[in-house]
Amino acid sequence: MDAERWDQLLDAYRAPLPSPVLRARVLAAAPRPPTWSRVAGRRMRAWAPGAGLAAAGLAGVLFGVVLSGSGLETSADTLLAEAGPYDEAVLNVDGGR
Amino acid sequence: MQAVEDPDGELVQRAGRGDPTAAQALVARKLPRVLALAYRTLDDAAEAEDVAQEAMLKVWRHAPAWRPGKARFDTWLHRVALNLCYDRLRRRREQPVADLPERVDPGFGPDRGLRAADVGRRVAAALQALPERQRDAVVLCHYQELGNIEAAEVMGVSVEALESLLSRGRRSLRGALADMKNEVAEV
Repeated sequence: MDAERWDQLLDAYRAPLPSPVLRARVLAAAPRPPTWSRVAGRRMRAWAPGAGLAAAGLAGVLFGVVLSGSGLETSADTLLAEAGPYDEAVLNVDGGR
Repeated sequence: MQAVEDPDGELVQRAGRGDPTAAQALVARKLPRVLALAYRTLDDAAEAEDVAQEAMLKVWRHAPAWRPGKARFDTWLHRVALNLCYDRLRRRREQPVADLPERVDPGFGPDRGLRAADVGRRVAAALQALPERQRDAVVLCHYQELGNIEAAEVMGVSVEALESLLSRGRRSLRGALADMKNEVAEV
C-alpha cells in the first residue's frame, strides 16, 4: 500500500467536531476583560489591610486626645476649686486675657 | 534557554487579558484538535468531550500568566489533554468491564454512507488494539500532525524512542489492515 492510500485509510477514522454546546461551555469560562468595578475591587482588596491598620491607628490617637483633653479640664476645675482668694484673682486675671 | 517561536503565543496572551475575540479564535483553532486527540485516545465521544472541556479550562487558568517559554502552547496543550486521557484510561482499567460507558459513534453525514463508517470502525479497532504508547505515537504524528520532536516532548520520551514506537505502531496497523488495501479507493 503506498503512502497516500495508507493515509487515506487511516483518515477514514474520523473524529467528531466540537458540538455548539461544548463550544459555548468552553467560551463561557474564558477570562473576561477587566471591568472598572473588578479593577477597583482588586485595588480595594490590596489596600484593605493598610487602610484597616491606618484606621485603627487614627482611632487610637483620637481616643488618646479625648482622654487627655478631659483630664486637663478636670485638673483645671480642681485647681480652681482648691484655689484661695488670691490665687482665684490671679487665675481670673490670666483667664481674662 | 532561548524561547521558541510560538504561533499561538500572542493569541493566548490576548485571551488571558480577557480579549473575547482572541478566546473565540483560540477555541476555533484548538478545541477541534483537543477533541480529536481525546476521541482517538479514548475511543469514546462523551469522555472525549469532557477531556476537551477540562483541557480548555486549564488553558483559561494558565492564559493570564502565559509567557513564551521553552515549550510551544500547542505542545503544552497536547500534553495536558493526553495526561487527562491517561487519568481516564487508568480509571477505566480500575473499573469492572460491565461499568464501562457505552461507546458513542461520532456519526457520519448521509453522503459518506455506511461503507466509510465501516472502514473507520475497522481502523479505530486496529488503532485501539495497539499498545498504548504506540497508539499515542500514531495519533500524535499522523492525526494531530505533530513533528517527531514535539510528539516526543508531549509523550515525555526521546525522539529515538518516539520513532521506534511510531514505526512499530505503523507496522502493526499495516498488518491489521492489510486486507483493506482495496477498500481505500472506495472510502
